[in-house]
Amino acid sequence: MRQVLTNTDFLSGVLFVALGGGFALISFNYGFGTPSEMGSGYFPRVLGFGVLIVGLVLVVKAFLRARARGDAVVAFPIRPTLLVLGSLAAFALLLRPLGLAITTLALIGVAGFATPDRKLREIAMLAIGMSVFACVVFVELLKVPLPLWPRGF
Amino acid sequence: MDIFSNLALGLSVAVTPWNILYCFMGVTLGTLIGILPGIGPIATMAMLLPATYAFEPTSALIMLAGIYYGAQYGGSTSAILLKLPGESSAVVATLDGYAMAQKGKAGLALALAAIGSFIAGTIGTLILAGFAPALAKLAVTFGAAEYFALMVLGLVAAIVLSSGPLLKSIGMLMLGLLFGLVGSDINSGVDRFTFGQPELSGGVNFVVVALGLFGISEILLNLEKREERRLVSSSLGGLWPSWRDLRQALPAMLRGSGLGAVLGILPGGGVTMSSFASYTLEKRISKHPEQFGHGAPQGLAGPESANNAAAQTSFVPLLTLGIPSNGVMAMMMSAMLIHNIQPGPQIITNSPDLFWGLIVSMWIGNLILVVLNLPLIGMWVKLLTIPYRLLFPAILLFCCIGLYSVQNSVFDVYLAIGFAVLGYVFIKLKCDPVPFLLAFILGPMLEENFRRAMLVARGDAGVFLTRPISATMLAVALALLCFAVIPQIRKSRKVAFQED
Amino acid sequence: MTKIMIACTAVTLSFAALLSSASAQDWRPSRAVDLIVPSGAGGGHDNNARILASVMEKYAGQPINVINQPAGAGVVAYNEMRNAEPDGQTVGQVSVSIVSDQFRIEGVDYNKDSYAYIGQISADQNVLVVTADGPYGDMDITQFLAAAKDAADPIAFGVSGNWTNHDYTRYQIEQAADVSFLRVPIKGGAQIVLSMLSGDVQVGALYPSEIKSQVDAGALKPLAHNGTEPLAAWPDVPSFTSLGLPVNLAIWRALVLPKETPEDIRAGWESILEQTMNDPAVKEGYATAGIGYAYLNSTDTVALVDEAETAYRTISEEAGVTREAQ
Repeated sequence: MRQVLTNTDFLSGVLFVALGGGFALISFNYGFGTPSEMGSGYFPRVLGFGVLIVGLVLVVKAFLRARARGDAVVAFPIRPTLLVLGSLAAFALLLRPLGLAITTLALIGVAGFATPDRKLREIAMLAIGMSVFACVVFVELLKVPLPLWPRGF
Repeated sequence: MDIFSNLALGLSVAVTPWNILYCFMGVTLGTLIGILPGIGPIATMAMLLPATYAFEPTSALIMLAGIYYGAQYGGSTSAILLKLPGESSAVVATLDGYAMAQKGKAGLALALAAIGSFIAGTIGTLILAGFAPALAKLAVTFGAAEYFALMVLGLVAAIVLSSGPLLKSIGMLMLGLLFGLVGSDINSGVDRFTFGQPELSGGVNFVVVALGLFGISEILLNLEKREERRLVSSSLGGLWPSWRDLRQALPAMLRGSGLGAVLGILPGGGVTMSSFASYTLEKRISKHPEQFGHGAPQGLAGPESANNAAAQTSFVPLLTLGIPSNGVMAMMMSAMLIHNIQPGPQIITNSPDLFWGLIVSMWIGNLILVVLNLPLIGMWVKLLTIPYRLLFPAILLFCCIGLYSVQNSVFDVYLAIGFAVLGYVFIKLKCDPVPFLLAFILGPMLEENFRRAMLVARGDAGVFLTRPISATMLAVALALLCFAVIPQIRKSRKVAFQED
Repeated sequence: MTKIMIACTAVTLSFAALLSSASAQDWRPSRAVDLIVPSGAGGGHDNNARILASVMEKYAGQPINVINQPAGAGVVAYNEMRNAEPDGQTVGQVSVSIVSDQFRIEGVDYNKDSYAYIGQISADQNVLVVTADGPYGDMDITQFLAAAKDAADPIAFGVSGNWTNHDYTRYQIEQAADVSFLRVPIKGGAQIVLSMLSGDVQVGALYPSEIKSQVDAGALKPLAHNGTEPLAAWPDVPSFTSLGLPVNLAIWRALVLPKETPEDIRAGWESILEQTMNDPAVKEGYATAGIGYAYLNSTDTVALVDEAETAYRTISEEAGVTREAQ
């Protein structure tokens, strides 16, 4: 049983059922229409149920072949994943209020800790270097409309 | 006037020191922004447009066009090296191009892409010069029914070019279509799956999905592999392709160029389709389709040529009909209007020097690009020798800036975090994200054209079979699907028997 | 005596000149200005903003950055303009959809009263066109409307989405001439033109700039337009109004500031815009880009906006436009 639960077929089946079912469920809010004059719900509902069915087949397949295949998922490393995603969130949170120069320091500072072979001095230097580089290349040269400094400056 | 005197006229316009300089500036800037994912050619062209007021109209157009096809070149560089596709045409380069780079053949991959693009640019220019007015007629024979059939063909291609098991590929395909439907439905004006967020009512942007699903989740995967990580960098491999490599890839480049040149003319998504179509074709006719996805040179050279040829011929609807088929062409049109040139059927007779000068400059631009890019390959490959702990935070920063600049909103950065998680889970569960991404791109066009075709035909589904172009494409799609499905079913039955 | 009087007058005059120049000059932006545009780069809205910005920089004394925010068909941009710091450093370019969005988009809570208006910057018309080699190619507008009325199967009319400008025009034509069309939604004017050329749809109501090259080439034929003045490109094409048909919904663009912007900053921007719009470079830029030149000062713009809101409210109620999912 344990083998089934960590089987990639089983888990992707569950994911498909959840996502497909979700889309299908929400699509009931939209008009279905007729094949000749389709409503906005027609395509999503048909596709949603399609994904749901594929998911169910995968789940059944996983049970039928439980013993034959040990195609198990490897563990998810939590720490680097959270740090990388956290660095992106930091960028999104800080950019508008603090501007690109400071936000870059934060992004690199957070992301830099995601590897085991990190060195504090290296991260600091990288952060400063990238901050200058980003401000010069993106804002000054390419004129991407990014706020550069904290609001009010 | 025959083609040679036309090209001679074009040469006399394009080969002046100033125009060569503008062309050079355009393609260099284009390459730079192409490498940076999310910073697209449209925003750059918009920014430079006021600066071109003072230029000669031909010079202005030469430079702006250079930004566009230069960006196509640059886009494949980051797709090959870092799996960061900044535009839909670069997605295919992340398959075998990235696989080649992982195997230490980054130099070869970049060189093949550059040479393929140059060959395609040459062929595209010749086709544009020889047949532009005739090709314009093809562009207007495509109605909603034909576009629907083309999209179906594209979806079948998405299944064919996936390396995963068939059932999962179909599931991922449908899921991609669903995500493509997020946003305002054009037929009814209803916002679908937006959860009340106005940011979503224009749909999820391609850059968000591509960077989340491919670029950022690839970083997560790389960080996982601690010890064996980036052994690639220690062996750079040969930077230059050997004659054997070139001879092997040349037929693929030629086929890709032809296919891309034809598809590029279609204003409703032809450029996007060109690289997928070429990949499918190469995999289909290859004696070793199992190598595709693991670094097959043809799987890179063909599609790269196709998207570059398509980029050239995508000027046809604008130049000969006066219809801008996408944002880039809308910018080109603005540039023409500012200089009091009305693009359209009369442009060839009214301003032949501009028309032929622009076309010849595209070939010169491609020449500059290949001369510029081949020596740079060594530098790009060295990029991979930077320790990964320093490289990935920089990549994350470029992704963030690119994501933000799509709509000047941080919403897309948050959204990309979601897609990065989704992409990571997909890879963990051995679900190939490629069909998902392709279906995501094609989904909205598929639905829109299907519904429009049905509406215009007053509900008669027979329209797809009675119109010859649409019927032919649907038949090809069906045949391709059978070719893809039958071996898979046989294989899985064999496996099932063995297990019993 | 005369000398003293002359001297006095001179002093008074120079004082007055000083005063008036001071009042026209009292507020100007202190750093680069953001001009928010509710659409992506390329296309009419963006062109309009860039032409305007390039001239306006001269009078504002600061660079003007065009910021494209296409998200949510403009809804995100309109919310951002309303919520920006009212310090005059952020200006918004709006179209008539700021008064029509509230009737058709769920969740929209801005309306004509959410902004301070600097002035109108342009006006546009919808031109009814048919394919020249199609079944209606040799008809004039009266014949076409008669044919549309008699058609057993409604004629396919391309619109760029439900209850967009094109679609409101379609509705007005239907009401005025007592006809009905098959409404075919197609993304954007360029795609509508393509659909007309490929024969999917037979008629559309588009901006002059979107159809110019095809009309010049003889592929499309303009029948009538919904403006009040003759069209610059085709002065012979009649307006619906001149035919006694009330097809006249105004389409315009204007510059706005957040509602709470102080009076002196508003006055500063009003004078910047007035100087900009009187610069011949704007007229030239508009003419080449196919944008209709029209300028109204702040007070007249408010009247224009009021009128537009009433018109769109009436027609939306009459047509049963809803904000709910359909």
